[in-house]
Amino acid sequence: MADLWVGNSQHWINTTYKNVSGIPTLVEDGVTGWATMFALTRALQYELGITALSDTFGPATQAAYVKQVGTIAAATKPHIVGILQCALWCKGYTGGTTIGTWQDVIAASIGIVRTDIGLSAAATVDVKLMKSLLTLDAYVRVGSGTDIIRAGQQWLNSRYTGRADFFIVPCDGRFTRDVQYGLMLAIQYEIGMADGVANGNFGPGTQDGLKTQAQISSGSTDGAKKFVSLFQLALAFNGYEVSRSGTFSTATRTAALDFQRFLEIPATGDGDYGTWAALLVSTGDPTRPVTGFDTITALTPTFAAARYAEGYRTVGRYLTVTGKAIAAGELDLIFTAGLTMFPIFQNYNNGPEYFTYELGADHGKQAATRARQLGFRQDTTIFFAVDYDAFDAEIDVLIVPYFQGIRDGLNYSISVDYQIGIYATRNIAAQIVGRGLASAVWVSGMSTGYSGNLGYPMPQNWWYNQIQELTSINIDRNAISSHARPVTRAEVARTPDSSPEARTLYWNIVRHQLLAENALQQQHVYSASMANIFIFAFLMSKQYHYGPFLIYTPYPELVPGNPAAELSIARSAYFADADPISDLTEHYDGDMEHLAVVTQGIMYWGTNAGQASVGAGDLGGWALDVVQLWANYCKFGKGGDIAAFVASNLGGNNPDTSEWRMPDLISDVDGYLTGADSLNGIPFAESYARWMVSQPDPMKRLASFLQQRFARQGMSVRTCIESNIATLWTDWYWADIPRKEFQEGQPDPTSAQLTAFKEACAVTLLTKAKLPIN
Amino acid sequence: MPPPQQAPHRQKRNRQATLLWTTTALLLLTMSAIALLALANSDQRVLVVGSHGPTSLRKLAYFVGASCFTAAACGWAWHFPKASSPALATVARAAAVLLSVVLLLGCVGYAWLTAIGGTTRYINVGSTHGQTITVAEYSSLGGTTLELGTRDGWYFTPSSQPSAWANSNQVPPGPPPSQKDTYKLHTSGHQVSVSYKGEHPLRMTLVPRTPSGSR
Repeated sequence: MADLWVGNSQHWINTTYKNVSGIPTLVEDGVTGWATMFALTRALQYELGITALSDTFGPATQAAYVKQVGTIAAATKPHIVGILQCALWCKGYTGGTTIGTWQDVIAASIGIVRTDIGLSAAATVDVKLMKSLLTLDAYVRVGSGTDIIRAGQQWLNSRYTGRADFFIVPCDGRFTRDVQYGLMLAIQYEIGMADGVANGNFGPGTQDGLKTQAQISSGSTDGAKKFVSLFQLALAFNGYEVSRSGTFSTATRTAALDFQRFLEIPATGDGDYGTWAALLVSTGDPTRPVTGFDTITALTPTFAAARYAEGYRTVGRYLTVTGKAIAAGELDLIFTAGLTMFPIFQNYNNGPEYFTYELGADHGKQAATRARQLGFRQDTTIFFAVDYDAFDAEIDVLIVPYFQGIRDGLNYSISVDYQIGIYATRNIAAQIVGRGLASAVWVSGMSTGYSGNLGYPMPQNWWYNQIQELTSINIDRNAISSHARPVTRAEVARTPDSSPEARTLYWNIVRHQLLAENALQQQHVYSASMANIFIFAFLMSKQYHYGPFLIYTPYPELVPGNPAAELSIARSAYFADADPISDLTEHYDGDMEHLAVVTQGIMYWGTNAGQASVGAGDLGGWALDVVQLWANYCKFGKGGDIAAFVASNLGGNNPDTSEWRMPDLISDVDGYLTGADSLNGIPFAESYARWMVSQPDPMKRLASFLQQRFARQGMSVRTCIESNIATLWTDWYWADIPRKEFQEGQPDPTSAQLTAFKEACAVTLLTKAKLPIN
Repeated sequence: MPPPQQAPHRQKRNRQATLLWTTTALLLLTMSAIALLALANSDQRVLVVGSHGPTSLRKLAYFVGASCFTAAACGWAWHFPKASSPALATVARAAAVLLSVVLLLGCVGYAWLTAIGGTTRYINVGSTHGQTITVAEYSSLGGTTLELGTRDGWYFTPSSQPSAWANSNQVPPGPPPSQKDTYKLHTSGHQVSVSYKGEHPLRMTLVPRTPSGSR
């Protein structure tokens, strides 16, 4: 809001210094801002005879002020008095109506200012006060400030302003970086550090001093050293409402206990070293025992076991980026070692240029895709990194849009929702969580000097706090909150990753699952089953897109009852992004396109599970192959032993004598198993992973298929297989119509031949599956 | 003397009767054709019209037959004088409708089953030594298989030689060759080969015809 006298001050600066190089012309808008304060600082420097003007009230300005001014009074150079008056007006105090002329009202205002900042009400403006006046620091409680903190700020000013390096801290009731710095200096002074030695850093000297001098507990009172007061202030600065009294009261102990419990450090209720450290720096005591670590290096069994033996229980690992991403088999290794884990996404993200909505959306999409590919289940929290010292002003313009992008990008995973966690400084993390853009916090506590960690309490919903780097084993140690929900083995579906090829194929299947899901979602017709149908339709679109296949399994938009227009658009969109098909067909033991025919047949016509006769859903798979095997026998095994021919050609490897070779058999089996899952709404990728991981041996899957399809009450599996095969030649509809075409012009088996053939097929299948023959 | 004028309702009845007799005759004709089709085919040769083989012809005959049956059955049922026995007329009409529906649904089911069972096309690829060389192209859910043979009039005779046959493993997956590729005939004496996609030749040795045209 514009203020008349702020505007007058700006006008005075513009007119007084209009010809001075280095003092910019101000917009006379009556609003106090850094531009006005910087102009006043430059004006003061000009009056002090400094030629290289700058925005900073640095050592040279301070020295010149002390030497030439000392303290402002009636005899002081009028323009310097004017600068003081402008500063007072800009701070909200009365500065006198004639700028450039000392007046009593100035002295009165200075007295008020000094009282507000905790100093005596004398009418003196020394260098520290002048420096403070030329900032935007407030001296009255503002916004979220509290009276307790303001009283502490005033006390710090009153006690330590006399020390050389201690400058006046704001008295606005808010815990900020400058207040944190002032508190650190105060502790160092109490420890006994000399001026010039005390530097505000939580270094070895400070740590030793706290350990040896500042151990306080219930009943402790301040003497010459004011550790109890400083401890109470530190608690207040961290959000615990305890007034500074100088006596370690019950209230102080309660606040200490609350703080210790929140930080999950030993709850002693005392002012011990660990508590001091936790109050003063974002790491707390970095050497304390913790149970978490994160690393960019893939874990080995030995490494994981060693960390477990050291007491670690949770590891943070990266989802993407070559060289640091979770390696093939690593998740299983982690869980086998007894550890839990949390997934991290970071693609640079170490400077402001990496934070836009578009990048966030891309990163969210990448993270969702990789999380799905690795098998992370519903509601897994993925931590996205803000790995630089983002300032407050960057939150709304950079960090918030980035996390909005992540939120939208994660929606790329339609059937599995993921939660957003943030790795950042305390301030950034708290702000993003406060805006509802993240639900869990991993504090970059090791960055103790970052502005976002200085002067900000620990966010309420912190899960992890990164406190120490161990370069010898290339890990960062992390404190873990009991509220953290690291991922356990039960929360990750096992995925095929026994080899790079198996992993590549599976990841491509997941990529297709996501493409299909999103194409359907765009048209508001998503269902897991329909996404599966899209994938199978795409797999069939190259080799099986003609005549009988289009009738057996038409595109879903052609099926009566389906929303034709939406499905047509969605399928076209998916197909446009789906190529090349080789992504899905390479590295599979069977024939993936054949599998798609089998699966699609089941999706359209059912599993026929437990039936004693062949159904339409069988035609895409094993049933047709049985007929072709008979045709093969007629062509190549004519007159020979049926059992021997079947034994060597059912699931055999001779392309000249068999059309039901091993890849076809595997495709029939996997197609049936995944088709049955698909009918139940299980995404194809999930079903594929389930079967490939739980039963990597195709013959085990053959056994599962036989038991699912041919398990019938009161009938052995063998009998049921034989019954089904027989119906291909005895049920009127199969016998007379399609089979004749499948059979490629070959004659039907005689009754004796059919008996021998069906027995041979059943025995061969059961033998390969290692199931009982009878 | 001018012929006496027929009453309009009588003219209409005459037209209906003509139509009924025509559809009935057509139905009988179709049934005869179906019977003849069954007799015409054997393991050695099959009846082919254009590129269509017995299944296609049978499918056509069934549809024509079913349509004729529907028209004839319903026509006769409605032609039945309702006044003489209303109950009998109603039963006759209901039976006609029911039978027609069942028959037409059966035809649709048959068409579906034969469609997924596959189709066979007979492609003439050229002539040599006075014989027409033909490829029988079976395409079904199991893929495509090919068989080389000769065509004599309305009959296709497959070669019994193993090299004249290509199973679905040997035919590249995808639409059958006739949809995208052209079969090419190569001859060397009585040796005949047919290739597609530049490979996978089907081969057979021609058996010279006897002067009467029979083998």
